[in-house]
Amino acid sequence: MINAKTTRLQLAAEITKALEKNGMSAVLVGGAVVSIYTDNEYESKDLDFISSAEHKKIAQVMKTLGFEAEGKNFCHPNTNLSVEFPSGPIGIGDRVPVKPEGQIKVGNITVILFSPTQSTMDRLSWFYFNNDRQCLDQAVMIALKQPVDFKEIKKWSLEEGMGSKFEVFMNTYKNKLAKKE
Amino acid sequence: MYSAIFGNETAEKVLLYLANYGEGHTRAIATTFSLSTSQVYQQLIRLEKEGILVAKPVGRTKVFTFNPRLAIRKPLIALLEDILLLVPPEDQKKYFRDRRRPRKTGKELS
Repeated sequence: MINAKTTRLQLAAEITKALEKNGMSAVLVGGAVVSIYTDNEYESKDLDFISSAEHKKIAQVMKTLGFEAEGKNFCHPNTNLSVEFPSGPIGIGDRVPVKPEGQIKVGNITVILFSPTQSTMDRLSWFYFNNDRQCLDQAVMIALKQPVDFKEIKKWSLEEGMGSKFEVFMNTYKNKLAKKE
Repeated sequence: MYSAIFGNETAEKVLLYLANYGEGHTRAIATTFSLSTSQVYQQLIRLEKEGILVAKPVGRTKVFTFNPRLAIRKPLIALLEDILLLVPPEDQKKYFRDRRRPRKTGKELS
């Protein structure tokens, strides 16, 4: 039952369960993943899922959960969290497609999502290519709260030609870490 | 913060803005820091004349970026990045954290 107290992760699990019941799967990406990994230090108001299933079929399943379609968004009367299914494939910068390496168990449901390292890279891609410093902050927040593979992030950053911006990320991370300690 | 290095406070703000966002035009920079457009424009033109910035026309506005041919481009940006790290969090949020990633039309901002 979806209500005002349903957390992002619980909602993701409900949606995953309903989709699986109908033979579909979806991967949670974007800001909602940041919220989960940072214990809501960053609060995303929506959940973005990428699914290879037909949008029409997804819409039918979402309707059974009480969601109403508003354009490409799905809204529910009992929660402020909206849900969207942007088109795939899942990519991070030039790495397309990307296999999501994260999973979180909610009861007997497994929510598939980006790993902390992938989510950090996903946020950094907005900083690298759109100069979005909100996303730089989000990447740093994840790295401060979760174990991330800095070697892998550096490797990917260099592949993207973003060595200097990776340094900005690392300096911001070290600066925040020093203040935290 | 370190305006003496850059000549004056407006020039420092202009350069920090460009290091932070990668590019900018007069009105956006002036609005961000509540400065007059003429004040900002004067500095942008001065920095362009000195070869530190370059401008490209986008529609009816001139968008300024760091000159890719500037020999000290990398160390200058690195210095500005170091200064950005020292900006107090409330000022970072106020001046340097505009959302730059796309958001679908009609979708609420988080």
